[in-house]
Amino acid sequence: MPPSPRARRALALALALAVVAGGVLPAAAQPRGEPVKIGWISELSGTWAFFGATCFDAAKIAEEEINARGGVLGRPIAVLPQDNRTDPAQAVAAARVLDSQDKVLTLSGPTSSDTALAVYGYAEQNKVPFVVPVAAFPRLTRPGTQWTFRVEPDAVGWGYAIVKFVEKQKPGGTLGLIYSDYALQRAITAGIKHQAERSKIQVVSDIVFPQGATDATVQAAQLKTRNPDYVVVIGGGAFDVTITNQLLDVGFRPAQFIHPFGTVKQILGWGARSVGSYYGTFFDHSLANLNDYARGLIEKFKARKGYIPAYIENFCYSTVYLIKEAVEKAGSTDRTKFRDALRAIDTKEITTGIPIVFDKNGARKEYMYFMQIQEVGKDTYRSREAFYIEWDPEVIPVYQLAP
Amino acid sequence: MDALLLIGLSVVTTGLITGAIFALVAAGVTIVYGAIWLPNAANGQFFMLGGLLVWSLVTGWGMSPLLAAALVVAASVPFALVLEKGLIRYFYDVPDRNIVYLVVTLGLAQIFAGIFSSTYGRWTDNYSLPAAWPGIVMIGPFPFPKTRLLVLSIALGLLAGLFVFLRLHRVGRALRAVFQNREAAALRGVNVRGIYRFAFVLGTLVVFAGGTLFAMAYSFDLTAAWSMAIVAFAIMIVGGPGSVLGSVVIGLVFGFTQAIVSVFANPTIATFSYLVAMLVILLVKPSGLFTR
Amino acid sequence: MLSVREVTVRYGPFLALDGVSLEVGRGEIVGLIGPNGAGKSTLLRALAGLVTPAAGSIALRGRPLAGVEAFRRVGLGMALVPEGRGLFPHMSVEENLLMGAYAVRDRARVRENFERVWALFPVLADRRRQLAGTLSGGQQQMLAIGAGLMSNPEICLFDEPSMGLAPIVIGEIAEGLHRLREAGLTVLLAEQNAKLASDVASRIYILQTGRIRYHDIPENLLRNPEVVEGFLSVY
Repeated sequence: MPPSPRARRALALALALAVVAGGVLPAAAQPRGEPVKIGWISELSGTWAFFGATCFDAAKIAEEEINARGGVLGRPIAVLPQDNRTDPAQAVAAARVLDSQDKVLTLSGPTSSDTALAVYGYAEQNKVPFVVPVAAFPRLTRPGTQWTFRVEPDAVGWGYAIVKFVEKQKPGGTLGLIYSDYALQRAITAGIKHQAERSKIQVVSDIVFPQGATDATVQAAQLKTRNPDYVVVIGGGAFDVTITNQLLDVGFRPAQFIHPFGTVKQILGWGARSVGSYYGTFFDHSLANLNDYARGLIEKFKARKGYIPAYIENFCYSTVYLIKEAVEKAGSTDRTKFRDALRAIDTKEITTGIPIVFDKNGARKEYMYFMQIQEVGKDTYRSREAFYIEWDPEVIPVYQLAP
Repeated sequence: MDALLLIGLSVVTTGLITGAIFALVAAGVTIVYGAIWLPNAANGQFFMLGGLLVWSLVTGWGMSPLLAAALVVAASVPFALVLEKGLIRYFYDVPDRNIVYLVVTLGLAQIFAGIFSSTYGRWTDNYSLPAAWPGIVMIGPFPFPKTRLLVLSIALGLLAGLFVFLRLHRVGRALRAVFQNREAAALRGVNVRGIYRFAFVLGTLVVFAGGTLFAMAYSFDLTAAWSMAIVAFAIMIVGGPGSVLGSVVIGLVFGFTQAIVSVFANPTIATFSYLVAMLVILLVKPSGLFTR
Repeated sequence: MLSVREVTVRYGPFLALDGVSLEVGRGEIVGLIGPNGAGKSTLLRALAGLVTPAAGSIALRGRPLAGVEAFRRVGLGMALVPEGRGLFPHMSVEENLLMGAYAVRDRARVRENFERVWALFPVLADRRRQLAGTLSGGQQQMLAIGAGLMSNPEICLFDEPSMGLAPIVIGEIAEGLHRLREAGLTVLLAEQNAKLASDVASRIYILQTGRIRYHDIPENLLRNPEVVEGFLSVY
């Protein structure tokens, strides 16, 4: 359980005193001994570096905070980074080094499903605990999974949540899909199409772009002639902004847009023209339920990196805290005991208090926020929570929909 | 009826704008290849560098996109000169230099790709510029963003300028003479190595211009470098290596093919449709459609 | 005008020219004949700066040309019309001639040169917009000579202008060369066709396996049975 605010303030005061006294006396709260190691296999270079790097920065903040507050089991916690260069083979090599040389307690860190799946194979085979902070392929928690736990909800489930949102906004409404051909997009739209039938939402357009596409003017015009109530836009990378702009150009209103996910840079990229549109997320600085940890993360991150953190950073930050809590519950750094502690965990996310419980396959009790953009500035934005939903990971057959 | 017109106009504008940018990059590549026999595999990275630098100037220094683009295109000249002096010129007299150059520029491309992914790539996967000319102009029922109109005009203007230069200017003619017969050009008093350097600078400048215009018209990410490199080579080969006219015509053909096919099929088929067009043209005329 | 002293050119181990010396005076047409592979083209290419001699010296109007690159020799008044004609096949006749005048910056001068070429080979004027690659062989040769003249050369080097042409066309070329002589142009004419060379040249050098074997006026050479037997048998 996270300490109450009062306890935390007391602890902070104690720490401050310890620092002041540090010249004279050894600090009482200073963690000692062999650190509890987390092998952090991350995309520090390559095509996903913008995710991996920002995620690692957030994990480091958690590591520093934990160590400043006494570590775990009286020992420091150490996040050991390995660059997987966004390459699955490199990710496996990194897992091997961290497992056999560094003897880490657990693996973590990937922010892409391809690298996460590579590490998944290694972890399951070699019985190494693996906590995935950010990766949405259902396969990462497929039935029979023993050692892997995933903090991010799976992408097919997001599709379910999107349809539930549309259903609430406009029962019996119509939906257009326009997206790039990536596995992530395929998984989300599989969930949408599956749930749409059950929710009586009609998908009137299903436009897929190949990877590397740059222009969507013609498709925007085509979609406009179908005039759906809502459009789900999921371009790959920068193409997302291009599609958004071109749909706005042909006359779609911002309030018709649903982006399944919104990183800070995406939202800033959509810009002021997108005020009024919706995006799904798992953490946002505009949320109402932020606690002191969340505000601390936002402030520290902003001070260090110059931009505000969003769900990626929060997943990585809270994953380190989750690991800490599981180690405490396990009472040791035995891998099996740690794994069992994760299986049994029933806690709340450190920053927002929403539940963290894993099912038998290591899939988390899933949830999603839908935010509506209120204002976009040069380097910040403001939005408002429009919808929140929680669901069981297998509410729809996710493992069949995205094999 | 309005729906049909809307889609029709979207095809025309898309074909023109993607075609013009394709044509610019291919023209830059073909000028360098025609003169030096240098198939610049790094052209996609040069293109990307142009776009990224504009993005930095605009988002970092708050410069206007047009001014930033002009500065970046101007900066491509010293960039190309340094590269020519430090690397390119050492292989001018190597036998089979086109292979040597392919290897050298592949190396360059890897270096640039590495630099981009460990600098820009860590920042975001999404580079977007504010509109250079905000607002929308209605073409009948079709709303056309003014920025893209501007980009289209500049791209077509540059292509026309390039064409006139090569046809009518003394140095442009010397460049074409070197494309066709470098020894004969030397016997006419043309400093062939000087023309090589000039061609490298001009070609690089044109590729940079393509990159900056692309950045103004579209949001982009680092993957655009490789896809643009491949498209540029395809256009050059189909249009006839060394032919700027070929680049322009085939660039527009590719742009329109993609736009038209995407109406009747899906965007995936559209993206590969021009590669099919390429194969068909090459089967009919293996040396490319146009000459130098 | 042109003075060549003991010029030696090697292609790897192969000795292409072995101490060749010759002189061309102002306003003179000098023939250079010899069988295939004798080194005629090599000598002309050395004069134009396309190959670098291993030894010897070349001077134009007393100015040594060692180290002067080919393209700079054009500005000094040397024009080579090479074997294979050195045209730009995808350029028009007019553009080819403009390229010939590349080193001339004075526009009035260029216009004058155009008039001279049109007068010399009127057929070119009729075909000024036609692409060079689509001309007949004789017209291409005329264009090549014309392009050589466009740079206001002090001396023209012609490498086998008769090559591959029908006799009647060779006659037209010869006529052109006669007119150039009348106009006072200095020419060094390399030819396998000894008839053409002896017809227009005032002096002839005979080159064999990289060495000058004979040097005389055409009349004397034609009286020398050894020369006629060995080099002028095409007669």
